[in-house]
Amino acid sequence: MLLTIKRIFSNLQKDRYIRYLLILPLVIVLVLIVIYPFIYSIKISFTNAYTSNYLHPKFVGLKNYIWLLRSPKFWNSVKVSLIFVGIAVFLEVLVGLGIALLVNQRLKVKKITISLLLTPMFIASAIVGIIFRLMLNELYGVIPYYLTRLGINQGLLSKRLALFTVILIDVWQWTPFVFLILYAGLQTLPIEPLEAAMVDGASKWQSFRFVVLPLLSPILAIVVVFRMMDAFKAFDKIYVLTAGGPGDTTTTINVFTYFQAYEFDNFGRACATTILFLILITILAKISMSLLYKSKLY
Amino acid sequence: MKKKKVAASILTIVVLIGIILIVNIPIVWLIMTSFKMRPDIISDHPVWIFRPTLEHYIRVLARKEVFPVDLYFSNSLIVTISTTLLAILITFPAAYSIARFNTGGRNLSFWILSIRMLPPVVFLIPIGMLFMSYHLLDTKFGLIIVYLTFNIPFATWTLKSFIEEIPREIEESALIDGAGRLGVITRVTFPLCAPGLVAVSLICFIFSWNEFLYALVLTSLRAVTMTVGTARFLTGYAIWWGDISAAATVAMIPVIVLGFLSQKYLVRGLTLGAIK
Amino acid sequence: MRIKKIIKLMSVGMLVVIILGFVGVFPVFSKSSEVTVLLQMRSGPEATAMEPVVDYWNKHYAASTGIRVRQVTISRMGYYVKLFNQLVSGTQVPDIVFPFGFGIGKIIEYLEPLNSFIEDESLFSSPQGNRYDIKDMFPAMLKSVTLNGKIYMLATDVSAPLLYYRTDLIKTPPQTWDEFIEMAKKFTKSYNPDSPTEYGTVWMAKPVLDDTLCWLEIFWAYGGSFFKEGSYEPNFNSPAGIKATEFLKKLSDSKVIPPDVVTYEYPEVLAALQTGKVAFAIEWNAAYPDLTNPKKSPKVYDKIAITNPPGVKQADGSIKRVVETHCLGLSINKNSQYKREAFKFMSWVTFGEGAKIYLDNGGIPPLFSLFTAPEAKSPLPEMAEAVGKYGRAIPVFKDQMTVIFMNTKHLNKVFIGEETPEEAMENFNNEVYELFKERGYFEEK
Repeated sequence: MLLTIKRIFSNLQKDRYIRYLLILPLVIVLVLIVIYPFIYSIKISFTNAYTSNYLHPKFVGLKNYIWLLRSPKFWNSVKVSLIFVGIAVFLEVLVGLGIALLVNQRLKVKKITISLLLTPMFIASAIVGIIFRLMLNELYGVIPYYLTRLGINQGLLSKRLALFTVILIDVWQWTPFVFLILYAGLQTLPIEPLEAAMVDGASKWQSFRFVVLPLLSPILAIVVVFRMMDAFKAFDKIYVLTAGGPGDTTTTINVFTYFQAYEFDNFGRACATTILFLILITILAKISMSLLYKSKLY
Repeated sequence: MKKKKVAASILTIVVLIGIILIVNIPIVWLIMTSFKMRPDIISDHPVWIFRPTLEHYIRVLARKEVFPVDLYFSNSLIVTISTTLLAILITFPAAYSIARFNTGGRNLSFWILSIRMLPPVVFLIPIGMLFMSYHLLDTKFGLIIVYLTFNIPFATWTLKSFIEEIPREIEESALIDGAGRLGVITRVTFPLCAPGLVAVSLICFIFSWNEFLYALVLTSLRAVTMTVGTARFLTGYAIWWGDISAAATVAMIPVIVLGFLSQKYLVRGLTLGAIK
Repeated sequence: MRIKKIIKLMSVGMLVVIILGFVGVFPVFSKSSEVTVLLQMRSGPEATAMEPVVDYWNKHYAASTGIRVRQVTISRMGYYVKLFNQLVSGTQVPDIVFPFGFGIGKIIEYLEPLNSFIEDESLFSSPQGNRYDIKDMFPAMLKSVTLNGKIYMLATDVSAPLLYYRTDLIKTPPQTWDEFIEMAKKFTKSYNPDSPTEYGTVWMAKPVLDDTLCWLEIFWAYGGSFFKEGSYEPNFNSPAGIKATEFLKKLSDSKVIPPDVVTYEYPEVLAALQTGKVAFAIEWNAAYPDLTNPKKSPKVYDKIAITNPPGVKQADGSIKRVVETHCLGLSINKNSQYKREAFKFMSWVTFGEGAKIYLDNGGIPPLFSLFTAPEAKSPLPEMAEAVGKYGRAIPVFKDQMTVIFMNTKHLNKVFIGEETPEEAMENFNNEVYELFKERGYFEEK
């Protein structure tokens, strides 16, 4: 008996089996926490589930999807999300690259400088929302006070500027991440091509444009993909700071979905939004994955 | 020529100092607010110099019936640490299998990575409804499971990159010495992977600690975490800025400290092992 | 190998925390001959006011009644999601929860109807055995938590948006909503450079509940109603709805309020009054203690008064005012094990001695006996008039909260100029109609 168990055990240890055995827990867990909720979500998206009937919702077919696809609010939230992600990531990469180049010089207190530049990325997004709600308050906030002093009398959370403000806050929080990765990337670049360019008499801009930038491009790709992924997830600080307002100006798909479920009490529609959102994300993910794959770093 | 260089480097320093200020002032302002008295907080001009008070910290730390900081803090610790451990327990063998045997090929590993892209709201709604049915709402166990959704993809990929770095020869020599594959993994690969494990646990810790949305919706009383607990001073009748700043400061100090400690591994961890 | 040591230390630490965690996962409630009733409040002034009440009960009556009460507090942010999740998940604790009056519809299936307890003489009476009088509570408050004849809540607090104004600047506060804007202009620097305040007034325009509740005062004053007579057919696109919404439009266009007002709710309006930036504002009665406290409001504490909100002038020259009134209060979890014990305590808090202690600690129990008592302090007499004479509550139906959220989103769009008042009310009305149709409101009867 003991021997058979031992035999089976040693048999299982063979590479042929063990490779699957090792990955099995992960697969089981992913099925339980990712695939099962996903299927459940699809199921609910065809019903009219809400608070009082969530155990026995009524099947309504494609009604939720049709409502969404015809709803200007839904498309607006898609637009807001795309603007948010697009501008935020663009600015972050631009500023982050600038700072990385700046730090990548002969500096005396480099380590501390880098540390001090990173703080925002460790803070919970919800707390970032709280910080800026405090600082942006029209009546006693620091930022409006100094802006008024400078002659800029604009409500930063007004309809026109709210999205822009939220984007800037995202830039504040996540440029350090971009900086950190790009800086690390700059460190790994080989020195020879740069030296060769210098010998050839290239100007600083030329050597950056034609030597550093191409060498850095795979890393840039990674940064863009990762930031894009995370920017699409942004919810906490928007919810805390503006709750999607004024109007729908800062209602990203995340906020929209949350409201459908928990304020308009319509789980069916919220799940349908989730599925549409997933389709959008899958398209973006496909593009990003091929980008990552091309970068040859994975 | 030399003068120009000096001027340029001074300019660099000035710009850098400026950036460091912009980056840190909001955080410093929050911490300052936590020490201010109410009239200083809602004063119509910014107060930079003030007589500090500890009243907010006393209310946040010492008056448990108002703000059960011990419960929130320990919830955060338990949930964060358990989910981190669980993530490593589940993903280490899987990462090994993917790294060494290329199990599932590119498709599986990129599928796992793509889970990382999914916004939490996407899971939140079905999981919230499932939790209702399975009585997992407001339990730490529920949160621990949910946090795996974002910790697993990250941990799998990062550990995979670390395992790939360990030379196969070391394992092979152990295999020849008669150790089974499992023995090799536990006794050779696992210890050699130590830096990777540290990196993964630090970053999982930071992610999980800072998580807000799941904890906001899925907990109410017993499993509330520090991040969500902080928000209890917000909205509704009067924002108690002093209290909320004090609570937020308490909530963010551990992660900032950990963040600085983990700096060495951050790049590698955050790019899922792409940049070493 | 330093790293090995770190890992060892870390794993030992983690193990300890996890063990501690699993010990702590299931909170053990004291199990003696006494029953412990768990009361769950929402963080804020009500929770603070409730603490001494609970202490008093435990000190004086826990032994004699065998009922001990433990208070816990949950956060405000996402409060309703949390409360709802808790109730739906079928947990036995908390025994007593603390919903809003107008949020009762959404969770009504998970609450215990209280009628049979109220009829039970042994329960609806003080620990000394004196029967309480249900008629002591404002009838509007009871009505606002009654559906199909069943009472679901006993109110601990009454809440209403009232008009606060600076007595040093204003002799007679605005009487009609039109006067409201005219007077605001007088106290806005852009209209009147000599104005002592930067803006005349301010509005709770953040798309949360407050916004709609203030709007309702105008809507009702113009003669509006939620539904068409005797049905569930929504009636928001009526002339009253459009006029009330036009008022908001005028308010925002005239720039007598700060530009960021769409992000304001209770605390911001309170701060605007406290910092002396505005001359008057509609704000919750709960702000009164803060505004008259010299320590909390050093600039204005001695020159703030509270009065009825403005109304609408009628053909006969009289002014029709309506005060949106709602309550907060205690309900019993349907799955509670200790419903009778919970009710014994609840009735003491809302009708007995407890109400008095609650009042002394900042609560506002809607009892005639307290509001009209000779020793009643401000704002009680003012509120007795406002609420007693003009008070009206949102009708009870299951999707109250959803309708309020829909309304709030449209009002916000009017504020920022994305919709005209007519469009807003038309769209809002359609949304409500669609919702009601989907959820079978028109099939009942």
